[in-house]
Amino acid sequence: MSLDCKDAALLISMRMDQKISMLQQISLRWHLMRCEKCRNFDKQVMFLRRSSQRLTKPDVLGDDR
Amino acid sequence: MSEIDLKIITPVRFPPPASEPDEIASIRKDMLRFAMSQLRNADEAEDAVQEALAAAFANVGSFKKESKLKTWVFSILSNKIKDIIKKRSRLKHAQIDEVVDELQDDLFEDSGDWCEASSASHWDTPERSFSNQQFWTIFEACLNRLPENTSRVFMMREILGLEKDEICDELGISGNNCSQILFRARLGLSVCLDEKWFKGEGKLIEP
Repeated sequence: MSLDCKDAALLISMRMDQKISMLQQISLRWHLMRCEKCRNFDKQVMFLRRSSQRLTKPDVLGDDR
Repeated sequence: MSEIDLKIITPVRFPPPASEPDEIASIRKDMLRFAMSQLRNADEAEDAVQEALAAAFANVGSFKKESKLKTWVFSILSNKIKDIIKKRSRLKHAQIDEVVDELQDDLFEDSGDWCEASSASHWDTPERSFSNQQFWTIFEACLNRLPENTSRVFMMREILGLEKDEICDELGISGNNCSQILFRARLGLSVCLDEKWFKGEGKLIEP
């Protein structure tokens, strides 16, 4: 199964929320090895998660003296 | 602070150092801001903060001194907001099916490749932005720029930490639709942050 970037990006997003199939994992890994933009998107998506989690931390919500 | 405010705050007996009325007032202000960013409705935000504070005061005994007062009160507030969002989504889940795919058309070529000018660029040590208040302003603005339902699903997943299945159930949407909405939210946020922060002016002001 060969993925284009749009498919790969969807899988990158999906695997943040659920288990993806073994075949999807392998296809995605293969795609990521060759595609820098999708590697970037993968990192961005993980960064969005870390940022969102910090959004509820008080130090982000204002001066925390 | 006005005298009226003081009257409201002072009767509350909180363990030190929280007994400082100033501290509670400032926490309250931050709570309201946070609730507003999540709920986007002044009345509901006000209610959530009131209820969270009431719950905090009622359970003052369970407050462990080693945890920060603000952290503790905020965790109560987060739960209140979760409840409100759940209740709200049950009321109007019919609206969530509207699907706008323009964004994906802008980002990907017909061949399925990223467009040349796509947002999938390299963000250099993005965590450095965490200490910059301006980054958070932009982050919230980007979140608010998403279509309302899209940002709601994203917040339920990433900020409130609900599982995807829970979100599907709550909103009465299919798992597939839920994945598509989350995908769109992530694409939208990455485009916005890339444009407004990582490529834009924001980065230049960073210390």
